[in-house]
Amino acid sequence: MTYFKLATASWLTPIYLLMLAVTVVAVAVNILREEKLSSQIVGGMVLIPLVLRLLLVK
Amino acid sequence: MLMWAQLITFVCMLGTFLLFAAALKLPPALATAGAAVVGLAVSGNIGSLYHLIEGAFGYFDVILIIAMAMVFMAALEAAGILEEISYRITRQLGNKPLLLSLASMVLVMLPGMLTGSSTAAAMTTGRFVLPVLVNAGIAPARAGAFVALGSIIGMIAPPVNVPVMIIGSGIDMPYVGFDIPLLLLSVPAAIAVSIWVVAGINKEPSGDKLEPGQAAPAGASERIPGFKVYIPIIALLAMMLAVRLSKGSIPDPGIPFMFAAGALLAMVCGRPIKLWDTIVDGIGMAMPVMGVLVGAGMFVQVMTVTGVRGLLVTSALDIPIAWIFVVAALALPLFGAISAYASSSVMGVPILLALLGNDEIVTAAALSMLAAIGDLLPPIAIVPSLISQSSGEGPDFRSELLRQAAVPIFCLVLWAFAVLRWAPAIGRLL
Repeated sequence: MTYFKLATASWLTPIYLLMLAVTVVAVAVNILREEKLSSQIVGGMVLIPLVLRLLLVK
Repeated sequence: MLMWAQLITFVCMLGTFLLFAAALKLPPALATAGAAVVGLAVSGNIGSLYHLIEGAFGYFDVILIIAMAMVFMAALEAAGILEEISYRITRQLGNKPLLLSLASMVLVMLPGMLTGSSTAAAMTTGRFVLPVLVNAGIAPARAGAFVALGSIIGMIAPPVNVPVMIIGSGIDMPYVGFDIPLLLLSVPAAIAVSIWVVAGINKEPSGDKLEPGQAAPAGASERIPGFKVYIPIIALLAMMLAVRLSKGSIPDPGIPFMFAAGALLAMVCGRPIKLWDTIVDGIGMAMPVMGVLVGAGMFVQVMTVTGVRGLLVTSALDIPIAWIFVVAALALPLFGAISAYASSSVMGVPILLALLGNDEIVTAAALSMLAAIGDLLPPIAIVPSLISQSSGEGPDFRSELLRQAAVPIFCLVLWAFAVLRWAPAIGRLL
């Protein structure tokens, strides 16, 4: 319920959360496609702030 | 004693970065993150790993801008719009070298201008422009240097200049009023580089390769007729301008939203494309840059926590004003070889603080150019490396490209230095 309130705080917030969600899934797909371990780790690093912001944790 | 501890931490962080990036050839994102972890360990803060998470958010806004901007560029590319615009320029200007180089410069700069990322320029329009210039009679290494320099100039040109945003965020300066100073820096540089590359034409244009059929999208039936190829780019620029000129009467939806809207427009203004594949490709192109930003954020956060950043700020404030310009001209590009974004934050902010009282907007603009030039410098030389990879010219191409670009890079540093040195006078003129 708190998440829903925060996610609809302004008309732009749900749009940006949608953009974030799409970006998170696209990053995850790229990590799965990537063959080099170093690139997979970089993808994992990128996911940290994206997922936390998507969950409105930070 | 405390200063020594911070100095040792800084040296260990820089050493770790160079070891990871230059010796072990790890991606810059991992090198900066690794250096941050070592910085925490050396300073006795290894238990405070949450600072790495905190740092990962340092450039979150910029990360989102780059993600959406790359999706926009991927949509333009997949829809055939970039190719179509390149083709039209080649057909119209193929026999007019100077006009061709100027138009090519605009094309190369465009993605950098819109995304604030030199790698975006090198990986999108840069790939189309390189063969066009080679066909026009320019040596491949020189054409590659042109694309690399154009990518950097596009990165610092308005409307989006990420290094300035990062420098500004360090002293709570909003990204407002930078357009004219950034144009002053970028337009003369772009014209000079365009003239420089034309001066290097050493053979007749290969006219057969300039035939429309060669440069055109795969077949005539795939050409995109009419004006609609320009609509996504015009709409994007119109949105950016409208928000700025309306002075608040039009709500600002943010740059990522504008790029997302532009990407949707591109999907209906060109050839039919697969939406999800385009998004995944765009994010895939953005991932190394996003990774560098996450790593740079961690690096800067650890420098702040351990007091290294404070050491740099106080050291910068202690430098005599006459020498601060020389330090800026040397330190920003050299640190920019690690990451232009990290250089903007780590070196740009202290130097701007030391130069408070000069025109801060012109000063920050000049500092952004010096930091951006780092993307051209070894050991990483990210832009030349990308161009070299995509050109398929062989293993020596990157070093040949860097040799060709050496003099123009030096001239760009001198130009940024001049603007930095005389920022107050330039600020009064603008």
